[in-house]
Amino acid sequence: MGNPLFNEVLVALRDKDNYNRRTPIEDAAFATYARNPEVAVLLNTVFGTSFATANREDLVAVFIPDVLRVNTATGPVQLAGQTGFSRLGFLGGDTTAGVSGGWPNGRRLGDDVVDIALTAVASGPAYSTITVVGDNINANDQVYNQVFPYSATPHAGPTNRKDPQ
Amino acid sequence: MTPRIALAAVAAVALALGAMPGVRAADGGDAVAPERPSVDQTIDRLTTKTRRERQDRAAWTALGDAFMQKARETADLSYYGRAEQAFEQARTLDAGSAEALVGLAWVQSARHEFERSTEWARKALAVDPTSAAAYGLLGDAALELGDYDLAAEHYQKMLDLRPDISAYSRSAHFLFVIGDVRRATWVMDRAIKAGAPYAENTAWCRAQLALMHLATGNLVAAEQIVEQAMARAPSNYHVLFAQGRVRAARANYAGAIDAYRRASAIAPQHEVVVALGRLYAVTDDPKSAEQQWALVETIDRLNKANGVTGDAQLARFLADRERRLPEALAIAEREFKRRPNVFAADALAWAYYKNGRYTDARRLSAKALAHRTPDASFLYHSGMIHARLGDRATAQRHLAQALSLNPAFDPIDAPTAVATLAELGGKAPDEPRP
Repeated sequence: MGNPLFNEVLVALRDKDNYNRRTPIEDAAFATYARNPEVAVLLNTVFGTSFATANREDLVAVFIPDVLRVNTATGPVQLAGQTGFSRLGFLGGDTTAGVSGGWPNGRRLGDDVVDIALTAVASGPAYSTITVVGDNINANDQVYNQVFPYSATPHAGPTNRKDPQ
Repeated sequence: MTPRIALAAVAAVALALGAMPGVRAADGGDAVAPERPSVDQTIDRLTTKTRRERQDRAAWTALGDAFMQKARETADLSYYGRAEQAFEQARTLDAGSAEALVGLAWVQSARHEFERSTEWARKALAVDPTSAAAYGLLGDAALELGDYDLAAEHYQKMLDLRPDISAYSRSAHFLFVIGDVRRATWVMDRAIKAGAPYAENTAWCRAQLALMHLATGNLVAAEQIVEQAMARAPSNYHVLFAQGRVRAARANYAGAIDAYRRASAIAPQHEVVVALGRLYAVTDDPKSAEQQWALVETIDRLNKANGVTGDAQLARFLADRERRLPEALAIAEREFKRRPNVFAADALAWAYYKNGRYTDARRLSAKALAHRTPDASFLYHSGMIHARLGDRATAQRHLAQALSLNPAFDPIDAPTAVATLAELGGKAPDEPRP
């Protein structure tokens, strides 16, 4: 698995295990799940929206084959906590040399992949009107380190207290 | 007049400029009919009418409504007084006129006299229990007074009675304040599609929607909405202000200054003048910044002269500028006592912080954050307060959350948040807690 959410959200239940057994060179067999995203159908049914549910070549381009690509031709991108970083990548205006600073161009700690993916499903293939869809969770509850190992310090297990605001 | 603006965290202005309390949709969509009369034409027509037929109660209330709309469009607060006279005239003709009572409630709401507004709105409901507008004004008052459960009840009632632009836009703002951004933007979209009597009303909704997206970091969505709004209402104060905000978020400071200046030329309101001053300050133009700071104080005097109260934004301005700090604190304390809403709590927290009372600041900051209002400046203030109190973990978390929510929330404060976060990250780790 490379990209977040492909198997979790787009691949239908009956193929999830099957998909997990395959390698990226076989991913073309699953292209229909990206091209005709079920999640868009569900959103339309539940919320009465009219997101595009077919011919989503924009999603195919990201998810098939399902490997995480990163553009190494650009300079370094901004990290979480730095000026210019947006958890929404290009949707939040965070681009480097015209390329999204974050997922689907690589994936940074702090990239809000759920909001990016759902917003892309709702807004594509044209992206002329960005329809924001998301989960209302806009930050990690722990702070990412600015130095190695970069990921956030794990929760202290034994204390197990509710995080104070 | 102070516009309803959730994002700039200008306290106590939240609903003063809500959509009109009882508007009638002129069309089903948001297309602007070119033949729709401007507010000036309506005022002219109704002034002539009321001169000829002094007994025409409906004309007097319609004239009051038009004056209120005029105040919205120009920020000329003297129109409140003229609207009040027109509504009073209508009430003299018929003491039991619900429309006149709602009008008087509206005037008081615009002046931030929410207790008085509530009194009038209740009188209106006693006459007409189905007055959606009266419920809207009751909801506005509850929201300002920090009673969010009660506000929800009133707005729901309003939506049930009359789901129009006024009800939708109020509900959207309410949902935003209590942190339900997704539903807030969805409902604001409904408000835009609901149609409005004046083009200004829909333009206002578009501007608010753009600011909601901007507040949660959805910069591209905000830009697209501003673009649509500019195509329809290129000389609307709120649209120009929103354009300035998105340009500033892109670090296009020259473009933002241009948009703010045009907005300020239409209606020199506190929020735009402060925003302009802050941009002059970061673009190394202290002389122009000082002019804006002087203008802020003039606006404050004009507000008071026209009976408009609501000083949390002034308190925050003084605290940000570190000027007359004891006075800023006194204003913020009085304001929070009168209107304990999240914006007033944040202003008071910041005033405490600037006056060196960090424990009090922390207490108030927690109140500001209690409803998860998506305002990065609340989190920024909390982060700075906790940093000063030595609570490094909470300070880091809140600063990171502020930047994650909206990385460009303010041209001065956002870079400070980044620098403080880096500084905190460079210190030795906290002792592990037992």
